[in-house]
Amino acid sequence: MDKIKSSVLLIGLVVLFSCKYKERLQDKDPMVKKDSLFLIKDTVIFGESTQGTEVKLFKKINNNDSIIKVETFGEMGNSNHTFIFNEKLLNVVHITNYYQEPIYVNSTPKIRKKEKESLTASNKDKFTDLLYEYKSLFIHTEHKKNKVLLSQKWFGSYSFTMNEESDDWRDVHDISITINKDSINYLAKGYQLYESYRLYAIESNDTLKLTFKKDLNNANNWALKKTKNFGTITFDNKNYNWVCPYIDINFNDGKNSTYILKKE
Amino acid sequence: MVAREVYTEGLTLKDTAFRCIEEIVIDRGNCLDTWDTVTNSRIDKLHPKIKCSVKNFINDVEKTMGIKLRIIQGYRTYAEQDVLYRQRPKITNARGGESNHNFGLAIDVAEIKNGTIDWEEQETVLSKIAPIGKKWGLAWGGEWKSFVDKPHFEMTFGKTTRDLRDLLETHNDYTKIPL
Repeated sequence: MDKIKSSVLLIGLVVLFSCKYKERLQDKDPMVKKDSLFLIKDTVIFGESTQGTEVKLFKKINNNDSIIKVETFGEMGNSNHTFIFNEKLLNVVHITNYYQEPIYVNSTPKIRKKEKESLTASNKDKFTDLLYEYKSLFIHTEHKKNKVLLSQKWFGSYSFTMNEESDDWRDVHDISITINKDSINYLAKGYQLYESYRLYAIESNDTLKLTFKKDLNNANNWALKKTKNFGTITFDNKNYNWVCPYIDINFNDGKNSTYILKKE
Repeated sequence: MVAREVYTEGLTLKDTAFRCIEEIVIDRGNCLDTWDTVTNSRIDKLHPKIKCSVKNFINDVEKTMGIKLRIIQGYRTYAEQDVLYRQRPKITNARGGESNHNFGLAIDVAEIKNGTIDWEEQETVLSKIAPIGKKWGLAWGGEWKSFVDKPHFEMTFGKTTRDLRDLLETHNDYTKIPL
């Protein structure tokens, strides 16, 4: 009986140690399979958070989906995003924890409030923007291999003059978009006006869908709080037509217009 | 474009266009100490380039809204940041030199009411006072996308934490970093 007991104990110990060893191996090797995910790359960025953002790119092994996990820490809490995407964004889970008070040395933050958000039609644009930003951290290395996100036919400068016919010269604004392989920049100049933004675009056939990415001038424009949608540029084999909700709100009293761009 | 036209066409042609500029009153603040000794001592440890903006911000909020703000976190040393980094459960990805607090360029504020802070209430209070912080040139963490950090304000003069670390290596003292 004692022999059986000690054999069972021995087997138990062997199983336990082999599990522990496996766990340790997984911690050490980033390419080791973890819940059918392969960690491809990870990085820590310090931008829009006081305590840094860790971004990890995984690949699922059973299909072609990719996953980006983002863990951001602030003074008052933390936030975890999980983006699942393939060609398009497939799903998002966003969990935010708010601490009872800000962190300080040797503090143990207690969570006051927890919020969970998933992908819906109303937040799809917001999450797509965020995914693009995080994805670009890893795509950056591919740029070095001369990979471009947009086809070359779009490269160039596009411009038009808003209120060109106005009697009051102060209403006249020069608006341009410059597209090259590394960036898309929007610039609006005029009387007491200087707006400089980085945009990003999604290309589909002869259409570019533009969205705000970054204010290069930190101007905190009021219209950006209303929309970050820079609309679409469509080429109809003759003209480049720009439908732009941001311009409509900012310069056109909210009226929808199509702006004809001159390409240089 | 306007300046060039004035130059070529003469001042008289455009003087009406500039009339509105005379009406703009630029408030440069008076950089006085705040109502709160704790806050004043924390301001003393900030980078000299942001001290006046922070004082003006806190005084402006008190004067215009009757809200008494206290700085609850200001300058944090590299060593203190490293302690935070080692804490578990994890509360930061930033080691010493990776947070703007380590260069005296960031603050966290909260309203003091009857001597205490009600963090539930801060959700709304901090959104109300944020435009005044921005007016004094501070960037607000409440507008960040990855984590909305409402108590946080900072002024980095376009420098990244990497830039600041490099500058600190050259100048040895964070208060002497040229900004």
